[in-house]
Amino acid sequence: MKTQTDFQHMSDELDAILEQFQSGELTIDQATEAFERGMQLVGKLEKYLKTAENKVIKVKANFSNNKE
Amino acid sequence: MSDLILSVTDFVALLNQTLEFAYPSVVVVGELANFRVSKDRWVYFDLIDENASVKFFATIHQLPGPLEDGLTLQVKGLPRLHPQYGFSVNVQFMSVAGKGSIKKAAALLEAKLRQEGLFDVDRKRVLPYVPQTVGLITSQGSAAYHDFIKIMNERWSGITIELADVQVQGEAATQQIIEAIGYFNTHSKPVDVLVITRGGGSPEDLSVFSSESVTRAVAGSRLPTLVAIGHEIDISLAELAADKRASTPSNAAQLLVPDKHEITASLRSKRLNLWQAVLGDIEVYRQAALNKKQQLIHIAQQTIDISRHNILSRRQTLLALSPAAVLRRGYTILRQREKVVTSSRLLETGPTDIKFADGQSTVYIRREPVA
Repeated sequence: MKTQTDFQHMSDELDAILEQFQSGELTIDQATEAFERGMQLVGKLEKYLKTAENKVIKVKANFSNNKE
Repeated sequence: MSDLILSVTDFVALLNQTLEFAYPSVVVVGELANFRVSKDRWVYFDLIDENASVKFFATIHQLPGPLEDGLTLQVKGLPRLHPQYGFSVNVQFMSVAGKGSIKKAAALLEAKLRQEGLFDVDRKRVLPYVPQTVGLITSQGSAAYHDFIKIMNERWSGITIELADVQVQGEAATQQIIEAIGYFNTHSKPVDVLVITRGGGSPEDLSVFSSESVTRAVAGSRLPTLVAIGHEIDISLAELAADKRASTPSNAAQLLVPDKHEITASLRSKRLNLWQAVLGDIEVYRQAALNKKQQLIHIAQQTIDISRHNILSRRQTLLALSPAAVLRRGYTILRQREKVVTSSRLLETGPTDIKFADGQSTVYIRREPVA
């Protein structure tokens, strides 16, 4: 996962999986599959928070009387 | 040396050259008097104190906001002698000075902009949460920049911050900030949110963010804006015009992104929820399977019981119908010449087998006259 958007999508997917569980309508096969996907998402989200960094890019545009 | 004799025009030109040489520009502070605007374009006013009065000339675009006589102004300008209208200072930059005047000018401007609807609540947009890209307008060397970046790094990850390094006080600040807002608003890849911030300072320092032009630029931004100027108690007009106001640069970062430590904790609890949910589901299915097994065993048992009962009852019936059972009740079977004697008419004399329940005897039947 590289971007904040990916993070958001995965976070949403994880919440959707938890909601599915709460609905109690999953078959045992679906529950197993959803569980595995959910754990995978938790792992990726945790990794993103641990490893990603913010990036500062200085705008190159010249503003009036800009200090050098 | 004889006196220098000049034409009026030459005198004015000479005086202007002298002024330009001696005072390339001057900064004068005084009380505003005789303020008037001509043709919605030209501005004439005097600055006065107890003993003197000087005329000034400006264009309407140079005004820091609505003004009225009595305010203290600080004006930078070029002293000039106009060929027809006499002496005046051509304004290069002007700002309201002194705490009381700044407050009063800000109140005048605030009333005007409020009237126009720039601060209306229904204009406010919700900031994207969490933004992927942030346009940051501040001074790179400032504590505000470092505070904002520090808190952003502490709280969240993976965000691209585009920094427009501008002056946040002084003459050039207003124009630079307006241009930076314009830059982000016309950029081909728009950022998700604009953050405009600076730390605390004197009322004069902060006045840039209460100027009409900066306030209008913030209000006119197509990109959602978060503005944090000064300390908690300072409220600039740019903050009122922004979609959201933060009390400090650090607070701006807090409002912009969630705390990753909280999210990590919530992820831990979601992991636990997943475990509980899947184990719960498995338990439900296991219980259901167990119940079905019990039902099956019960049904099978019932079926066996019914069959056994049927067999027993039929056995009883069979036993009751058996000839042996009849014999036990005292009946006997007579056989003569291997045939069962079923009628008195068939009874003959001769050897006869009598079958009892517990055995058999052979007798001889004779016909004798009955005495």
